[in-house]
Amino acid sequence: MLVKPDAAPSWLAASRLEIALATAVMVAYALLLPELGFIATALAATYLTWRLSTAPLWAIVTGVLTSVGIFIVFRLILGLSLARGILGF
Amino acid sequence: MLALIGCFLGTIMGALPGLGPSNGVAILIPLAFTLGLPATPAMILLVSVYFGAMYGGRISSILLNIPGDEPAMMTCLDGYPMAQQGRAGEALALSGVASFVGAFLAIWGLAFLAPQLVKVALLFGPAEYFALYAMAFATLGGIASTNQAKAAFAAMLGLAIAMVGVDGQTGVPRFTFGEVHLYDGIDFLVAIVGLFALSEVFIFLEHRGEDPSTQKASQVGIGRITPSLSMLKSCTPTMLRGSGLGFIAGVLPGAGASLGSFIAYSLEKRLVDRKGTFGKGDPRGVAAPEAGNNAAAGGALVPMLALGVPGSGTTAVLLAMLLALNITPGPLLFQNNPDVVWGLIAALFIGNFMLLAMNIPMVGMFVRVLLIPPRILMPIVAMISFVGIYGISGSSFDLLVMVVFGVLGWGLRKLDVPLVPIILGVLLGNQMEANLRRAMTISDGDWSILVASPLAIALWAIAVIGFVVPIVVGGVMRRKMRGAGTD
Repeated sequence: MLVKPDAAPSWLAASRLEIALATAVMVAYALLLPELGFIATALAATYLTWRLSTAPLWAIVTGVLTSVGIFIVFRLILGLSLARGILGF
Repeated sequence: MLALIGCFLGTIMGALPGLGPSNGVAILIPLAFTLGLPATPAMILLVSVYFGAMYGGRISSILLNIPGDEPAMMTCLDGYPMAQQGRAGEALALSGVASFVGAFLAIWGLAFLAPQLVKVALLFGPAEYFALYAMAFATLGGIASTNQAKAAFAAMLGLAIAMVGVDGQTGVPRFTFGEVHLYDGIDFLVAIVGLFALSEVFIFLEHRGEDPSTQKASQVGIGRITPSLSMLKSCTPTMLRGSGLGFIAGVLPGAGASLGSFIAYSLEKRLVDRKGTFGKGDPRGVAAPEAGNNAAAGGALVPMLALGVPGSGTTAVLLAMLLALNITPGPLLFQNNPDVVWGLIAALFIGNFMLLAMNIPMVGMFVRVLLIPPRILMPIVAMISFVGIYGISGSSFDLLVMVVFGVLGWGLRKLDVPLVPIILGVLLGNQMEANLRRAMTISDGDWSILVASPLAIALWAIAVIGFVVPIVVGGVMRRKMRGAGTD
């Protein structure tokens, strides 16, 4: 940012929609996290991975793995009782 | 142990293009909190990450010609040509040593200079503090950004965000729109993680078509990993000069590591480049900026610890962490919590040795980390931000605020509005206001108290110079920097 002076930013319609959708997903995630716990994390991670141009199937795998990884680190290693969803995890 | 983890994570963060030291530290704040660490270990962890990231930035500069973070930009100029000549390993090892020298000298500087600065700071009254904060905004906004108006706008925005919540002195809620959640104000951790980490995710979402060519790393041969003694010897004066300049640049609020590495490189080029080898893979061209930027990283800690005013973006994030741990940096820190300060400095020494040990033999491993595509990394960053903040505050509302800050940060970055003054405003806003009011109470509402003492006048003068001079000189400097970058 130090190098590039005021080049006019490009506000592409497609990318604006992309950001709007991602924002919507994050808002939904913020609201659902207390309810669904790590299921919500997996869903949100899947969505983001998919939108960053990964094939859908791999996105699901990565999303679930990300969620499980965070669950292990935060819950099992750090012993935090956070975001216990309706299903207990 | 924590320093080891921190150094390791930091180097990875620094190596990944797009994740710089400020982002790296911001992402790890929730982690440090959820670990339930006491103040000293938490700071040790984050500072190790900070230094690790400064080391790591060079890896992708040399191998890919993509700076891992902004200060590493100058390292591209001679590092990448060296890699093209099959001397990547030498360049990496040499830059590791240069980073070590820079950081090592800077920590000594920190240990000696900070207590001196504290003695001056003890003379400060509320009016002087107000002037000091104003100076921090002026110099940080003035030097570090390309457009003073945008920097000033960002600082005002940050101050406005700091105002949100119930006024501590009169009990009047401000900017809360009747929303009970906002009565406590906006937590600056939420703001920082949103502005830095989430906006990064948005940026990547936007550019998802254009994956940076991370595959190149595997194709560049690394070559021998140990630098020859004669090369080290020929670079020693370069490293020493680079460290000195970098440290000074770091101590000045706002100048920061990018400027440190830039002036170190330009001076070295002017001094020793007689055969025109700079820019074509001269080892000294790798050693100078790396020593410079690591020294600047250490220098930036001086004003942060001694005055409570950060010297750079990353130290601003570190300051946020200290405040969140209920530790107020500044002169009193040295009196009340000497264990934190000296523990930190000791940790820096140890961490620095670890980084050196880690960075020479394990370079190959860090290179492999570069191959993690951002499409997998970025969602992980986002999820850690969410879960981490939720772990601290336990409220969805804070998560929503964070998303808002993420979108805000994305928009501002597209408009080239610097984010650091915003963070500074959010962090220092309350202190600045409290000191102004205290000064007003002492003087019975007479504004002239703000310029009543010589110290205050000096600070205001620096503030004005720091803001105005870059408008004049900055254009020239930047043109040079751009010229150097495209050579």
